[in-house]
Amino acid sequence: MNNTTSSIITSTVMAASFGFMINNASDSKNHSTLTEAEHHTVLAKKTLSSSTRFNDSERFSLEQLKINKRKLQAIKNLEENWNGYNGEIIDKSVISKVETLISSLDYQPQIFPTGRGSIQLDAYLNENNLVEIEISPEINFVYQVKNGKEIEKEVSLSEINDFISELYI
Amino acid sequence: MSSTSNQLNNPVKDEEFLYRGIIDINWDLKNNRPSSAAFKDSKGVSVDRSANRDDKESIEFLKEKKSFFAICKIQTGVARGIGAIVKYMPLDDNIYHSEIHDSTQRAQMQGSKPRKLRDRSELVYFKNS
Repeated sequence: MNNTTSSIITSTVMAASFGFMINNASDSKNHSTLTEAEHHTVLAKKTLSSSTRFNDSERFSLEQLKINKRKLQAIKNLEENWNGYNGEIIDKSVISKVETLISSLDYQPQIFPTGRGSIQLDAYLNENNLVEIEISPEINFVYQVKNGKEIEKEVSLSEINDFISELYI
Repeated sequence: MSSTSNQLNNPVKDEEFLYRGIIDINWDLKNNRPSSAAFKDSKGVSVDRSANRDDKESIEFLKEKKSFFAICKIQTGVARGIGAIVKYMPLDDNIYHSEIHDSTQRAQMQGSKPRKLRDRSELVYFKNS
């Protein structure tokens, strides 16, 4: 089994089981991510065609951008204590900032809310090369591992594309 | 606070486990694990100490609180090994509640520590598994 096939199967199985779990969840506000799981399957299937177009399946991924926009919508709907640990509502300014930012990125990260009202962008290549960027109303904070070396610092929005793209180039 | 909490040792022992529930929106589908974002609360990271409980009892207690997508655990000594501070902070409705702080100066976890907590955690419950 080649890597692409394996990836499709893994993603499909994960998405299918994820959907089943969500269907049985008691928290109705979490249902919005079911669609994300379905889209993940679509993304995995479409990876074949986009990889022939760009010779780089991750770059300019409209499918991942769509997933991220849907996830932002789900993040908008989070209520107080959404994570069971007094998770804070994500401020509209943060959502708007991330919405604008992801549309301008060459490579789409995954996005996740944090319990402290920020949104994290994750881009992962391997244990020695990854980027986590936390966007909050006041600052943007980067934690980067590049060839095994860790870097932590505040960055401007305009620097974020370079931090993520660096992983893939 | 119930009197049971008084029976727990105030300092959390290195051997004890710390349990954290993860909801679906913080699950990293690409890598099939929690995102480190799940370990970023406004006041450190809320966890439940195991005290004298086993996995089953600790998991059931957490599941009563919320329908978590997954639950993971990390040993207290391992969390301390990355430089984090573990504090026992019981609540009226949760005598096991504890917090993992970044350092003695700062409660919020930042930089590499949330990722290290995630990487050193073990998944002990996955919904419908």
